[in-house]
Amino acid sequence: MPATQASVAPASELEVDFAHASTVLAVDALSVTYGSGESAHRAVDSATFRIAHGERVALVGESGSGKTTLALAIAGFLLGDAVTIDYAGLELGGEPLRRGSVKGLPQKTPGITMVFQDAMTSLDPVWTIGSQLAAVLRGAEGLRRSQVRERSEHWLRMVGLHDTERVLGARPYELSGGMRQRAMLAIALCSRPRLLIADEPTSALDASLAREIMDLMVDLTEDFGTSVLVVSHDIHLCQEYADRILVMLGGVIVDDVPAAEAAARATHPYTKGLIECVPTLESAGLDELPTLAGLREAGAW
Amino acid sequence: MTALAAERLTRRFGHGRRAHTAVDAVDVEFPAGSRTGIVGESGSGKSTLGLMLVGLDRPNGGRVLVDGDDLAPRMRTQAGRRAFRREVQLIAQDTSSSFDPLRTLRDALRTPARQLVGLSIDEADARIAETLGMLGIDPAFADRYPHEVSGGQRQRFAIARALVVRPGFVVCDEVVSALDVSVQGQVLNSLKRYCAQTGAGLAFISHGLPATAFISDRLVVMYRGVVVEQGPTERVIAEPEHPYTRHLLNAHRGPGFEEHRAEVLAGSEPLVPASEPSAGIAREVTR
Repeated sequence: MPATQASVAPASELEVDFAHASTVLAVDALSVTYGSGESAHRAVDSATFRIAHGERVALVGESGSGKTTLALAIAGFLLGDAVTIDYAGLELGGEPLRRGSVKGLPQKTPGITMVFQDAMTSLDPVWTIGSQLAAVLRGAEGLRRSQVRERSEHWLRMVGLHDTERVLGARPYELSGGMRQRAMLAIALCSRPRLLIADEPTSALDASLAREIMDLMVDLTEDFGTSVLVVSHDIHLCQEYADRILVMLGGVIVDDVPAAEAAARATHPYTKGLIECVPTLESAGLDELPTLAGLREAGAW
Repeated sequence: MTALAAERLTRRFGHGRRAHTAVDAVDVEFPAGSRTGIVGESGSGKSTLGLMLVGLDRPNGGRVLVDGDDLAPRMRTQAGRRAFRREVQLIAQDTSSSFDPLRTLRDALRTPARQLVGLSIDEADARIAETLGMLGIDPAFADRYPHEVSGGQRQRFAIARALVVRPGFVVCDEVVSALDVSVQGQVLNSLKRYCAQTGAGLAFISHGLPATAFISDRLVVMYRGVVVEQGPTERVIAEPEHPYTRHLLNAHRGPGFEEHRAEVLAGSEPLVPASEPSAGIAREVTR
């Protein structure tokens, strides 16, 4: 069942009316298939949705539901013979997405940047944070060497890393997990993308740090009017930080609900299951946690 | 049934001005059959405490007591170590690095069953089948290599490997943090069921407070190497005594976290140690 479009009425009058805002990302019937012939596996099946200017959309589901594949396909990181991407439309700001590759390696899609779960493996271990930030700044803004230092310090301060001297000269392993994720955000946002895709940006962090990073991401993207697509398995965190939640099950977007009222407005039992199965502080007295497997066996969907 | 206790347990890393005390004179009792949750943010010393409890790291001061006896002398002989490993098992966080990539999962489970319990191959395989059944794992996966199963499956095999010797005490270090909700509930349920059925004790180390609260009857809250609060789970959640515990609970309760952090920043609720800035607010470069 294809998702309903961004024309969902705003949940309350306080909310930004995204339905009437301009569309940044338009995905129409996008499918991704890994392999071919008998071993073909359709990881994403006709995904259709829109993201408005400044809107934060969360993509939630279990491992294997296709949420990361969908995000990678939009970001342009899926290339090669082993994967087939079909779509009726894929537009960023009204223009078809431009793709490029050099020697089979995907090139960055203009206007989209991505942050990954594990900053440790997505930052280059032998380069300093300063040189990795400088590389992006020079490419994005065409800055001279002398200007780069100043802009780098500016961006580190933006993400709350005030000890700029030390951070610029540090290699990724010399920073704590939270600092690395902040540095990643600086690198992702300094080219002023129209869309930031964050794949499980906080699942390697503890709860208070996860909130700090989410707060930071929300503040910065709000300031710049950047739209956000966040991929996460933590539906509770998404309910709090996103405007809209897309729920994926077996490669299909089965639900599209306003985040604040996800439980009340969910149309698919799986969405309710996802919300119920996350342990909360109220789970303390239970003998057994509800599980998705349990609900599935009970025939909820 | 095994009881563990940490007595003035201390672990320092580095020397001189770079010295860092990860665990600072910690006193915690883990009575036989109790399930204790150890919570705190990254860097609070909870994993280091866990490693010392299972004898994989040596304290600079204090001692670990196993059923009232000092652990250190037991760890000096192979027989002592084996007897201890049969009683106390660790389940580590990173399962991709805790299995031998060249051996199948069944092979990895046979080793403790044979070496620690002394079972024959047939007995070991029967024990493995029983354990996999208990944890709801499809036995077909046992003949695969670690990289051929998903992270969630591998974590369940790591738990099976610990439980195959039927330990009297299990130390779990962030066993569900990397799993998504669908698997988390199953893993937590089967761990809790094992402890309830066999009377085994549990130390459950995690930064995820809700999961920890579900599985444990007692909570130990750590902050910068120090235990700042401990008590029955329901009491700690309902009436936290220490400002840091309240901060941690707020981070999980969601809205209000911002205001609370502003309060902490303003210094109206000093965190321990009072002389240093909060680890959650001003993180230092870890070298």
